[in-house]
Amino acid sequence: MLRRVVSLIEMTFVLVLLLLNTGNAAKSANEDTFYDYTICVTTQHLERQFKFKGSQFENKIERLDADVYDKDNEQNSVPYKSLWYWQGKPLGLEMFKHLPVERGHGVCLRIKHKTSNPSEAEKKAAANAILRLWVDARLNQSAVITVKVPGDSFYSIIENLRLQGMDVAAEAKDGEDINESMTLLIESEAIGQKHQRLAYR
Amino acid sequence: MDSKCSRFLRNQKGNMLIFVTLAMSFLIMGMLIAGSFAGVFFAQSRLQSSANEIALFGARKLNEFNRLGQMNDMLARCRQLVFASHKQKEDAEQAHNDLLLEKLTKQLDDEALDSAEKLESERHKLALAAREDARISINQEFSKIKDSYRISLPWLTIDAPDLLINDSGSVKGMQSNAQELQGFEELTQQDKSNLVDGKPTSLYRAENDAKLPIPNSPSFKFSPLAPAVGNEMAPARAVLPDTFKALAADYAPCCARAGLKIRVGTGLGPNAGGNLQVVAAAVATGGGLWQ
Repeated sequence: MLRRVVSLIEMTFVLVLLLLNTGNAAKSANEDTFYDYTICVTTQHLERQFKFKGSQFENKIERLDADVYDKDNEQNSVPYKSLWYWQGKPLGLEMFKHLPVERGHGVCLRIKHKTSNPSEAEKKAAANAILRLWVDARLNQSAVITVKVPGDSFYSIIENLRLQGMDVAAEAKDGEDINESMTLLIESEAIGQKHQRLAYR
Repeated sequence: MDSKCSRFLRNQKGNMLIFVTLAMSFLIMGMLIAGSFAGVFFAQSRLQSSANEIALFGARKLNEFNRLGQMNDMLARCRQLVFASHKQKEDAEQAHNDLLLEKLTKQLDDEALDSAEKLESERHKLALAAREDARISINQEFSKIKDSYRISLPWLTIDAPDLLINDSGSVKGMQSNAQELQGFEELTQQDKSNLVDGKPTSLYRAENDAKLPIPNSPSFKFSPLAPAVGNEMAPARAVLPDTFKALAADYAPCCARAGLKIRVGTGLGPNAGGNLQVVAAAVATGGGLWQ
């Protein structure tokens, strides 16, 4: 009898734990898919650029291509813009079309690297591109729900965002009003998902 | 006396010898003169060929690794970046009453302006480097060929040539290789004076500072360079020297020019000689595909 009671209590405890985790998973899943469009940025390093005596640009140019597709349908992507960077500083832009995102809809920014071994300059450029695309979305009255970055680039991109005016979002103190619209949730696309919320100050 | 003289004159023995000697003399003189002229003509032809070759060597150095093409392309993109950043700053100021958004757009705008300034600095450096590289290349090629010219014959003397002209510039009618970017309709509308109409896309005018219609716009100076044709770069090639034109020092040249002079003497007299002068020009390899 006592054994039955104990096992019943154990089962109840396990059930409660499972329900809690499912709730969390459901919440994060909702947060993950609570966007209507994805702006996917692919970074790459360009070879044989600006070779001349005294050149500061020589072989230090990165190119980032931003494509847009609805939700997670990457097959239907359309080119949006390309950005060129020098040591993480923007150098040029080619705009292909106005942001193909309906006003008021949620957006996910996704960073990818063309190679498996991206340079630090690519990560720095990616951080700047995140800011620029965030502004694009904001001026289009679209919210950036989340920013997904490769796991290996997570900390580097966070650090570069901090160098460009962002900081770890603090908890709201009593009476303090934090401008939620100027915060970004950065998530890593990896097992053991890391995430960090940053605020622009 | 008269009979001796008249007998002598009537005597036909040895006439052929005299005639042949005289004829041979004239023939030999004629051949020498012809040989001299042929030598001069050959020297002229060879000199022109050398000048063409030297100019081509210089021209190939100008757009080595497509550096001029890349710079013109990046100018066009930087122009769009500055315009886009400025426009976003204006939109944030006018429409949103969001101080943090205004601050961020101003930060991005300042960043774009700094980049434009940096790009202009590198562009100027490249213009100087390209001119210098072409000049050095022409000098080097000239040094290789000049000693091969000396000829010293009784009927023809040719001295070593001198390099009279070694400069670079542009070609009449040459525009930049940078294609018009069409992401912003309002900019496209205002850009008519900065573009050369063409199909399917327009090119930015060369030797033109295509400033933006915004306050305190940075400079965007497009240098002349042949655009890509389809998917192919135009090769470096000789052009008529008359099409060469000088270019302001601030722009990167797309054409190299070489002029040679040589002293030729025919040996037919102390003053039988003169100077031969040739000029050649060649345009650089055209712009490559966008990257």
